[in-house]
Amino acid sequence: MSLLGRVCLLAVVITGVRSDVLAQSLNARTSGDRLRVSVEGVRFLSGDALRKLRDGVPVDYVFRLTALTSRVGSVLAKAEYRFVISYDIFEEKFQVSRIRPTPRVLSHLSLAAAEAACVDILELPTQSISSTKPFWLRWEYEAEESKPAENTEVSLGGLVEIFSRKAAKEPSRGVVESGPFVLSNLPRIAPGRGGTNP
Amino acid sequence: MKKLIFLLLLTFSSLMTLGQQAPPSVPPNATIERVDLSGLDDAKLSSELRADIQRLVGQTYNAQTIEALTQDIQVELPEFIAAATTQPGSQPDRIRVVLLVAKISDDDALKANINSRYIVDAIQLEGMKVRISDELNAELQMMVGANVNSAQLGSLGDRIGNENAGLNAIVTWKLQRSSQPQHVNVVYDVRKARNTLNFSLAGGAYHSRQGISSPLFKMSYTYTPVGTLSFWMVNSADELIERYAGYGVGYGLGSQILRFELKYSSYRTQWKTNTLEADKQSNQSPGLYRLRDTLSGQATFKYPLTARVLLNGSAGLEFGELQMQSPRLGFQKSNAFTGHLQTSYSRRSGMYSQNFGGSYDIAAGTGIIDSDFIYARHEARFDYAYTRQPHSILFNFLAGRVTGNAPMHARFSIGNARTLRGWNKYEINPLGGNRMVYGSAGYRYKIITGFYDVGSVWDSGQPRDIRQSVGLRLSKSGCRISFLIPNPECFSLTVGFPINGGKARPAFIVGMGF
Repeated sequence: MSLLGRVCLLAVVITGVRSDVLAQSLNARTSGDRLRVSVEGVRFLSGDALRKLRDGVPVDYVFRLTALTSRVGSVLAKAEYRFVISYDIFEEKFQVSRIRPTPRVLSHLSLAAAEAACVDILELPTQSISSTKPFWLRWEYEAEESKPAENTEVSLGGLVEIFSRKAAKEPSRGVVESGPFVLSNLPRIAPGRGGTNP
Repeated sequence: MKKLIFLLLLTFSSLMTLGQQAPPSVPPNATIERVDLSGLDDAKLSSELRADIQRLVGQTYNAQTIEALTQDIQVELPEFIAAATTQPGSQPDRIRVVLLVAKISDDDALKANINSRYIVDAIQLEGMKVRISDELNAELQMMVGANVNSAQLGSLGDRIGNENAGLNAIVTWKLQRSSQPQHVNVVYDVRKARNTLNFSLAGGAYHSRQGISSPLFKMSYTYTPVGTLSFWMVNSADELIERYAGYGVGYGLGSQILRFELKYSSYRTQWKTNTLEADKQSNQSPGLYRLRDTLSGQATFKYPLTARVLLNGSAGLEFGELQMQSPRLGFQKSNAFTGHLQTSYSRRSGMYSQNFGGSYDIAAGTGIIDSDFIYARHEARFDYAYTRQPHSILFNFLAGRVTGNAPMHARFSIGNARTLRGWNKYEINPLGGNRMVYGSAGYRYKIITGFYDVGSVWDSGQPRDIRQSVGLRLSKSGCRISFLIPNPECFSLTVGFPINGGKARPAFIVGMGF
């Protein structure tokens, strides 16, 4: 194979391997004094978490949305949302139960609708973001098997146990970053039109 | 408002118990005379759905049609769950259909897991074989017939893991559809942890007349199937006459049934003045050493004779090198064959539990393996505990015999944090003995234990001096988890009074992890 052929093959391999990352995108819009996002190309209900869900085991998800001055800059605004997602093994539908900041439940959802229900609700207040200066957005999630509330007390013994059983409870994580955005340039939607927001 | 709450509770109890009841018998070809909606204002439904519901009146009952209607309600109102039940109508061939609708956010269990509305039919275990106490088994069986409870399933899974901690297993649970609609089977999957890091402190004590004694830490890393690598550091003056401090490393490979282990340890020793003086005066002392290095290899096995009786044992070889400080400087070899046999019986049932353990140890130093110490050491131990919460009675018995010339670490000693509490081993017999008998009886009520200890250590041919002590101990019943920081549940406080000791000088013992 010629040198050009090898380079092309290598490029195809690299592109193939990284296509999942390249296909991910984070889009922003404003709704009144709130900033909302949509994430494309990320299937967070997948892999080990999805297998557990399909086995009837609820899975905790934490989503964080952060506005930054630059990719590695300081934080302008941050929001954290917690959900418990479960899967009805008879109806084969998902339930998204938001725990924080305010409780809300949506049930009988398809996989895509459950993912959308988690993402579309995320919002950031725009007061601390300049309308003319560029900023970056980081969207991240973390999932682990749901634990009962009474067992959430943190102790070193518990940490040892957690580290010891890493293989059993290894959380799945994902991060998508995008920017720069300028607030005044973002598309606007009418407040209250949040699509499938619970 | 009260009426509303009552109605909500009624609706939920109906929904949650729907699957537990046998489906109401519906006469064949029964006609639906009325359809009622419970738990929801029908104005919240679309006009199409309301029309579909009313269209059922006068039709022949069809379970699939009713089920499809409840699905339609759930699709239209994703924050609600819906189910249907039937009631007798005004005529024998007529029935009334009740559509029960409830808001999910009003029920914590449903919010945490939508499957909480289903009924558990059976509990199954898959994967590795595990032993489960009667008490845990009873709790597992109590879930049968009840709604799925994720928190309880997780908690009982953890307990299965804890009761089989030696297996280094991961316990997970999952639900499978049962043969009955709306019913599920719970499956606990027990599988070997592939990659485990453990770090623990355990078994330390402070004895007011003997000082602090504690393994500093032990850590082990297991990578299945390559094996377990362990490392520990220790500074102990409890079980032997000597205080020894140093480190050890080990490697283990095998299954829970058969396992091979290789260990190396290097300990520096310190001797109390009583022992140093006794060594100078006694021509029967085997000599004191300042360094003890040991390389040992052993094969261990575990075999469950029955569900409650476990037999385990080991056979091995030890190569020890002692850097002697008396009677003359130099090195001596302390090589020995070792053997260990142990059986345990455990039975729990509700408030009652019985535990019995017995073990026998043998060590033999011979010229065949080039040992400078030629001896045989035998030690037997029996422990029994009977508990009817919150009361327990406890018995321990220990006996040992050494023939030949054994090194100091193989000689017997009692009068420490665990035996003949109240006495000081350095005053009883500062060089230890080659004969030993010890017994203890105790009564425990909640966290208080009263005990009576009796025993003697002596050298063959010498007179026996039987010593006794009584005392009190405050402790929780168990401290099984590994921990990094002192856990209040793992501490114990003991005060022991020697009897017939001339001076009634008590010993105070603060224990950690036992």
